[in-house]
Amino acid sequence: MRVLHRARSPLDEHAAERRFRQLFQAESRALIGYALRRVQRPEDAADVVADTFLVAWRRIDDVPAGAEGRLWLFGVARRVVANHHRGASRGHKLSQRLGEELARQAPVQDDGDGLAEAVRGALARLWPDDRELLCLVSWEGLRASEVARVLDLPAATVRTRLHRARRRLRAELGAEDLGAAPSDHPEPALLMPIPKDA
Amino acid sequence: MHDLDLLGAANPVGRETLKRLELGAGAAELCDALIACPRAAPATTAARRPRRTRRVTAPRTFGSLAAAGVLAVVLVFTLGRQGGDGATAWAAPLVKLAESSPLVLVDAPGWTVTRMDEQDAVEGEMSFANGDHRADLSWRRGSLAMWQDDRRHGAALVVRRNVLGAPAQVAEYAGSHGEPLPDFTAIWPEHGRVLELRANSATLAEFEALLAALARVDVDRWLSAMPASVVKVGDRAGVVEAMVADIPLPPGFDLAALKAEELARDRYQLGAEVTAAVGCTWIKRWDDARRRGDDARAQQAIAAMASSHHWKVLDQMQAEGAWPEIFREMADAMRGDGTYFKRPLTDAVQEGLGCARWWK
Repeated sequence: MRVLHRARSPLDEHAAERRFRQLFQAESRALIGYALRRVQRPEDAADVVADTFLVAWRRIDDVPAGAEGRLWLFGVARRVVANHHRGASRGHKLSQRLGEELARQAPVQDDGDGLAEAVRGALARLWPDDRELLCLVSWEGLRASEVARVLDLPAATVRTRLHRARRRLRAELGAEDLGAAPSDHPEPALLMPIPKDA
Repeated sequence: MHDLDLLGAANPVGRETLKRLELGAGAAELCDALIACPRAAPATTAARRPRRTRRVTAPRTFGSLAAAGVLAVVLVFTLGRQGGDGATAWAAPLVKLAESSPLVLVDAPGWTVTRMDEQDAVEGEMSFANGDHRADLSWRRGSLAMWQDDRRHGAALVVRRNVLGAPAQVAEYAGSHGEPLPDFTAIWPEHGRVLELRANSATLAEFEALLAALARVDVDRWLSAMPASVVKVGDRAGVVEAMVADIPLPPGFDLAALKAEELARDRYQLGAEVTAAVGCTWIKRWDDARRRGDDARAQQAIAAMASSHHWKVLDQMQAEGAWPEIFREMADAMRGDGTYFKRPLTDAVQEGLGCARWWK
């Protein structure tokens, strides 16, 4: 819990608001993408975004500047999503309109031939940490060093676990010939290799 | 099809789709509404604690090995001399390595150690396997309360148990629909560190049996339990020599230093270290040559790295991990415009091959 040592001046508040607006402007789209990829309904994604930015607003002085801010937000969002899956979150009036807008645009892709569904099914069978590692790298396009900051792990640990997670995903996918064409996904080089773990 | 392509294809919201999303009044309204919220609020359980800055350092015992944790620091050990009482006399650095771990094994039939990483003198992790059953033991800094709180999020079940005489929090993970997953974790304190065992046990009873099988052992037994695939220190020079037998070495490459390290490595890790040392040196020569307009020298490096498709050491590693595949892709990228999936190759290899270590 943050300890306030003095009352905030109007100047402090103005600066905080400016910082927050900049953060929101810069990162809301990325955060919406993060949330949409991890919850079922666009309305729930809007709630996740609202909860995450609420934490950011209340702790704006702790949010790192620049690109690190996005990693900080992902770290918070991860916990918010976990709360959501436990049923511990409540719908937000704050995000109602955003939720409606997202639902209207229905951005979730459907490849039509079940390929994506099959891969997501394989992902769902992985350990949660493994799944999150793979998603952060493949879907959010983070490097191993950035994933380390989101998950608060040493970069070397991330690399080892990433490699293990890939191997487990391959095992889950099995020898099934899933075929299909790629969609607009981040470059595979972002999923950097690391030596095996045994 | 490449697993990475499949993973990308499964992205529910691709980059282009996300770019095209219209975020108009709803987003603006949310931003204004949040700013109107009071900032002096009680700490929320969703709040992330300030991130510690982690500096991954090479273990003190290992000298020049793996600066900055670019390559995972893996278990190293050597065969020791047999002492007069029949016990093995391990080399001092290995005893230090063992003593920096919790000296815990899974003492039950069929369980073996498959991996051991130590990031520094305080933190590390090791893996165990027994057929399809897997377990990871990690030890790390940080507050016990913070780690236990972290693991309570997303848990389908949280109970208290004793592990190795310490009170532990046991949690079972929930899936995306709240269903229990075969994924259990136990967290407990030990000598100022936080220990965690995580396993793919099917039931709580099975996980409890695994916890009950954890045992503290002595240094000798712990070191003896390490994987047999580790290259013995006495063999290192010979093994390195064999690995590079069909590899063109860059002019002036210090093979003697690579052979002389006083460590034993897991064979795969040693292969990655050796090929990284050679490959990074070639790539540096190639990059320097291109900058100077020395086409002949650049072509020499390209040809040397192109031969990696036939290096035996990489063929042998292929079945065990992704290193050979990515190494060869990066070698091939030297023939193009100097980029690897739109990133400068010299940037990509720093992460992918750990070249920063070899470019000092």
